[in-house]
Amino acid sequence: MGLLHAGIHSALNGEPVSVAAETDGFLSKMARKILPNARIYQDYKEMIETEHDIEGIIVTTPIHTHTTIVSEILRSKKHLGIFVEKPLSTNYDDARKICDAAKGSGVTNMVGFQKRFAATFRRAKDAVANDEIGTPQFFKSYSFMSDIFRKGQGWRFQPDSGGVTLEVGPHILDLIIWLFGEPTIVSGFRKKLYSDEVEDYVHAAMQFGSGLNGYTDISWSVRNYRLPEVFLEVNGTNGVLTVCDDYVKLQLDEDRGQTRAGTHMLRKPQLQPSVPFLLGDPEFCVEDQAFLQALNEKGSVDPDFSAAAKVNSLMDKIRAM
Amino acid sequence: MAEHLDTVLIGDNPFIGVDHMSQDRARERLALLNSEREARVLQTAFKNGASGFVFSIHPTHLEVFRLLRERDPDLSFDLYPLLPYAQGYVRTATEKGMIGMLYDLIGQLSWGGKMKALVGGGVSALTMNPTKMLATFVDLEIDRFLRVAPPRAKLKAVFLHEIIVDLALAFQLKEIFESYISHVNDRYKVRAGLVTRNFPRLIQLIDDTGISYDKISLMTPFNKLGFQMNPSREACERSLAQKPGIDVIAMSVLAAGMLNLKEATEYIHGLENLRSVVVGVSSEDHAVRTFQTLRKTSTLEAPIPQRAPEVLARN
Repeated sequence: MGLLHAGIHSALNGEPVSVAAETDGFLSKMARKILPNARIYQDYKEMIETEHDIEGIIVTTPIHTHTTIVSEILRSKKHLGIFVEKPLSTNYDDARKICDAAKGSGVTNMVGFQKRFAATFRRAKDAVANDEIGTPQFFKSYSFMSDIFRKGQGWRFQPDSGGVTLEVGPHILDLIIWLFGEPTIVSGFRKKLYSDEVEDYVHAAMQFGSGLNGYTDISWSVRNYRLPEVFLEVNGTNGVLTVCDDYVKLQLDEDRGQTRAGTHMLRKPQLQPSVPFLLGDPEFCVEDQAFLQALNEKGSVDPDFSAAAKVNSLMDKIRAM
Repeated sequence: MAEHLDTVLIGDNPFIGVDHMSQDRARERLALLNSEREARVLQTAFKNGASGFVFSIHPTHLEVFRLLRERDPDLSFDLYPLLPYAQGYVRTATEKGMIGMLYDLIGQLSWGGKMKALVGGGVSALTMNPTKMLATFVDLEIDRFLRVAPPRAKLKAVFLHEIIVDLALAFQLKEIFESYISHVNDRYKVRAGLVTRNFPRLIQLIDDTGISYDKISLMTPFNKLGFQMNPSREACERSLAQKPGIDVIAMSVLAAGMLNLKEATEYIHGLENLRSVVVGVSSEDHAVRTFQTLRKTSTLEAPIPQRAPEVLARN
């Protein structure tokens, strides 16, 4: 993810990234070969202390290192804009500490929930916000991928830093909060399928203050999901909204605003605009543009640390099930 | 305006579960596919106007090549390998770590390939030279496929996946491009292929670097919807129009199935300097319809379906 964001920022700015930190000796030497004009540090603290001309920093390290690194940046360079890859932290307490440290600093901060910038999910957000499907009644959702079918190695498989909730859950949980707010009650179960110490499958049912109910299934051990996929179907008093990375479908009982009654199927090729530079999916570029714009205007941007902390709060509840 | 398409190629997206319109559809197609069926679709495509196969370095194709070699040893077609198969590496690296992934890769090589990997890879790692490492990697991957390809299949170009091309483009790594192109030109005596979704920027970099267009083939999306054409459809069309003689293979011509074959073909005809396309098909029936139609590009004589949801564009 670090290469992806650095690449997009380089393309948007018209010049390659000039400063980077990589703790791995082999990769940092390789980075020096590939980017001979960039200053490559093996210690991020040294980079923060030494570099005085940088305006923003992108943190795309393993999740369990986010709190330490972001806290260090906020402690020593309060003016730096910070982009952190999702999720903000491994737990709500640490996420809260980051929010408290950033509070009042006026620093631009953002967390990489890029699905919010994908055309299909943006249209879904509009449909809910504009009451097109009426009052949401219940929903079902999932986030699946086909990655783990035997015991894995590394921090992704250790209880404090890994598991499917932290690795695969953040996007669908952020979308649920983005669309409906935070749930008041969470229940369900977690299951180990291949891993010894972390969950490979989660089923979480949620209840909201509005009366809405719904559930999500999260797993990295589902066959035939070549790419990670997020899916959500919402029943409302005026129809059904179905959304995933590929399409958004609205089935409305009655006209609502500009949208006529009937079925509306909008696929990604129809919705997704061209972007200045495509690396990965288009939403990454749109997301990085939003961060850059906020940085230039010294303003705020959504989803910020506070929005991301809500996802950590929900993940804590799921991991406590 | 292109009166004829010189080169019509079959792509492998439907065979490996890639579909830019619908992952559900990709899963359905994939469930029906196997090596036997893929081999039959390829044979049908080549008999109906496709002249070559653009394929990711995916293990599925090794078995398909073995089948074609056994059953149709006289089958003649051009090979356009595309590497790396990034998704496979990401998954293996997640599960086994980088070292485990390298062991897996080396385990699939011939003895000669293993020796080249140890010598070339060792030297590359010692010198920390990314361009040499890329060359070693290309040789390792090509080795696996050339060993099992049918005897009359001919290597036509070696394409570098957009995940590498567009990343190198973002960082303006001109040396990587120069090194890759000269390695493929010198070692395999074919054009070096570059896949991009940022066509005008790549053209700009090639012009700045002074790389000869005679040495390269480019593969990039061209379709009426502007799907995956960045920064805009107009900018991509302008860049193409300014380069007579350029070797560009249009992909995503059906915009992931949003366009029918007639719409797609009419648009492609209207583009100056474009003479090659690649499309993916998932059945023999669609192979016949698609490649016969594309071969009759200037007259569009073949029956054209109103919509071709089965036809999947290369990514």
